[in-house]
Amino acid sequence: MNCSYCNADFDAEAAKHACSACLISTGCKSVKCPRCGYDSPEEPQLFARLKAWWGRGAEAAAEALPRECTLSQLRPGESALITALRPGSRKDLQKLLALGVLPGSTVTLERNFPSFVFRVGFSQYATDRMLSDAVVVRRSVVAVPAPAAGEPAPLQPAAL
Amino acid sequence: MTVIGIVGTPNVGKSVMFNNLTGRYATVSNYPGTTVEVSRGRTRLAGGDVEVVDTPGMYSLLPITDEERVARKMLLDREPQVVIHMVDAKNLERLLPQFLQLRELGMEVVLVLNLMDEARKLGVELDVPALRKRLGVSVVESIATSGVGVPELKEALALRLRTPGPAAAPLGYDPALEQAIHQVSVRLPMSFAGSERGVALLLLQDDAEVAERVKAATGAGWDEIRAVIAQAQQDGEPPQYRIALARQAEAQAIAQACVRVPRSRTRTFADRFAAAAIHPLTGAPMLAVILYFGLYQFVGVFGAGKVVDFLENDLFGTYVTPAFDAFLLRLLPAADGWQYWTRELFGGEFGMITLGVTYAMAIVLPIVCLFFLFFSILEDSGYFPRLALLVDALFKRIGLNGRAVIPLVLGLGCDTMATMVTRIQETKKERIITTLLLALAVPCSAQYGVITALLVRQPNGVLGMSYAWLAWASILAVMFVGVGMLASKLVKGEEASFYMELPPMRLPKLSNVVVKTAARMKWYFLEVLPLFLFASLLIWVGRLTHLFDALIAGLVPVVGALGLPSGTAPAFLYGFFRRDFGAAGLYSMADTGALSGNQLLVSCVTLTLFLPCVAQFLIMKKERGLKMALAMSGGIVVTAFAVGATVNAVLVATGISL
Repeated sequence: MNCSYCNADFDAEAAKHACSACLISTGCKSVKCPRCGYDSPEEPQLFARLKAWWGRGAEAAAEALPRECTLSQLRPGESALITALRPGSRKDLQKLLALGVLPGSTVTLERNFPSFVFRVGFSQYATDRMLSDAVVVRRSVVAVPAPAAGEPAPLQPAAL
Repeated sequence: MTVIGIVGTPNVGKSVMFNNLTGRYATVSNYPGTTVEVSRGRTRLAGGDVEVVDTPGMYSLLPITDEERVARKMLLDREPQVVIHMVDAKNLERLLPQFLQLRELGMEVVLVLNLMDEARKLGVELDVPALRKRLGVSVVESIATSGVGVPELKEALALRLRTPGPAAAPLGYDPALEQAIHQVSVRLPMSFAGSERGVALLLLQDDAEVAERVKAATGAGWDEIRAVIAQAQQDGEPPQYRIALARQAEAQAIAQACVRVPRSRTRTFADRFAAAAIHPLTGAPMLAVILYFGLYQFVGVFGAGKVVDFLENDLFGTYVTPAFDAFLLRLLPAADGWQYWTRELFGGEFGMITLGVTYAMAIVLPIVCLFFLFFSILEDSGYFPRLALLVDALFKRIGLNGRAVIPLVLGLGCDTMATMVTRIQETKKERIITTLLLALAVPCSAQYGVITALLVRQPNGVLGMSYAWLAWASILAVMFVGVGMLASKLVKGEEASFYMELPPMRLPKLSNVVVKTAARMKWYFLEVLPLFLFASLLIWVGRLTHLFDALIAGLVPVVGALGLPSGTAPAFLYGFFRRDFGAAGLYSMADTGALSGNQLLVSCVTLTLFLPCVAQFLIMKKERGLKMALAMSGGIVVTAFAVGATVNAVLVATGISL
């Protein structure tokens, strides 16, 4: 986001460390600029969603997005290579494996509302946010060879 | 007898192939999860009788839902001599891991590359001889819907039945896993279905069901096996993940050698239509149009209004019923005594023929038939998975996920059938909530149709929908959401994340639609007609013993509290047998103008919220247990009357007259 006092661009999530200097550390609905310390009001969720709806916010967000992100964070129409799975439960892992959503495959996100719709190969799937969050991808144009058998790509178990 | 099993992911044409092989019909559909049970048929192969078993689709041999469990159970229990593995040719690479799994279990497999026409159209090229050599099994190309490849498949099956093919070359996993597989397989009992390696792999993937089976078969040795599994689960990544990756690497290698996939893809009209169906801006209006024309105009206004009017009044009312009554009167002319009562058993106002058969044939049959036709068209087009993803976020609010659309929409046809289909849901909590909502707030087609036909005749309204109908529909919607939200808070248990494959949309095939509608109609009639006759019989016994008069006298104050005339009491009593039976009773009353608009609304709302029918209760008991079925039914009856009384009170207090 953009500081309304000094006009510095910063990431609202990353700026949280600046809050540690403040007495009211949570629930204040404002974001402290890490450069000048000015409290800007938090962007309301509805507003952020509307911006994403029209594509402007999404594009800005995509630019700020690191190459490594989750499937749910991709822009609609964007392709990426699946690098890891981070399922919240064993059942969720099993679902992703059953659909063939595995590291080494290329995935294309087609829609992110009202559910996440994506394509792997010739198949189209729909999942909710929870499952799409579990798929870690690398946004890239060059195909990366699949990991060889015997040295599996990292699975990042959250609650397994 | 020799058994041949058909397995594969949903939507690859298993049921069509089953039909081709056996000449018997299994429900074919474009929705994952409609074959909830196993279909069996016979054919002659290699000079002997062979049993062919069709299974529900499964994505992996590690089952997630009950239907997948059914498919896997067939493989382990029946131990088929040959397994036909059906795959979608264009998606071969993604489906090969399942083939490898089957081979690991020691199954004799014939691989069928189905939907070859679609694959060719997309420019996917398959090197079949190379595949045969690499996989070591017979590979058959087919287009099941037009019978292409069926003779070749029969030939391949006959060959495999005579001489077993070479054993599968085992796929290698990482050293730690290989060691665990070895340690488990040497401890397995000899008499177990499937190869030791395959069973060991399932055990290492934390398969609870196979674990139960092995535990029962090994006895004391189980503790050692369990220790190996526990150790493997703790070493680094979960084994199921490592195994899946190794299989996928193998599948990719095979596909690289034998499959050529074009880079660009052409977008067909069906693709565009499918895209529009899931876009929030176009998807919601599309749904509204489908519901308005399909449910309201086609099933409600046309089916329950015009067709029923013709059948009931013109055909049965003018010709069949009077003719039958006259015939009875000639046969048994006495005005009282046993002759009167025998006449009343079959004819008269409540007779088994004049009431039971007339209701079933003239009112219920046309409505249910049109609904199942509408449902089958939507099902075959592939629309339902799209609907599931559209409503997933909303359904999460009532403790369900998008997958619940199938039982809930099917419930608009027949709640009893839909309660059985709750088996496709993953968790107990979802099944309980769906069962409750079906029994309370989802009107079945017979009832929905009769009530629509009743309410739509009210004079005031918009867009061809009367205010009374809109009020009825809104009250049901509020009850659906309200009770769903409440239940999602009260019912303990897990909710499941939503995942679903979206099959390509296609123009519904007339033959599929007709056959599916017919199959559902048959099921419905076998279930329903006896109940109608039974209800007529009970009414007859009740009248003969004067028990009914007592019950109706007891109900009069209750309907009085709802502001209804005492004449509606019998309708409510019949409503206990079947909701639409009661609704049909109201229909006859409204015909004579005995009910005002407000009274119609109150009685329709109350009757809709009732338990659908005796069959529904029996299925609830079967699927959810007696205790829960009783608790739900009790709650539903109380809720129905309470809501009816509230609606009446609101109408009286506000002075609204519909």
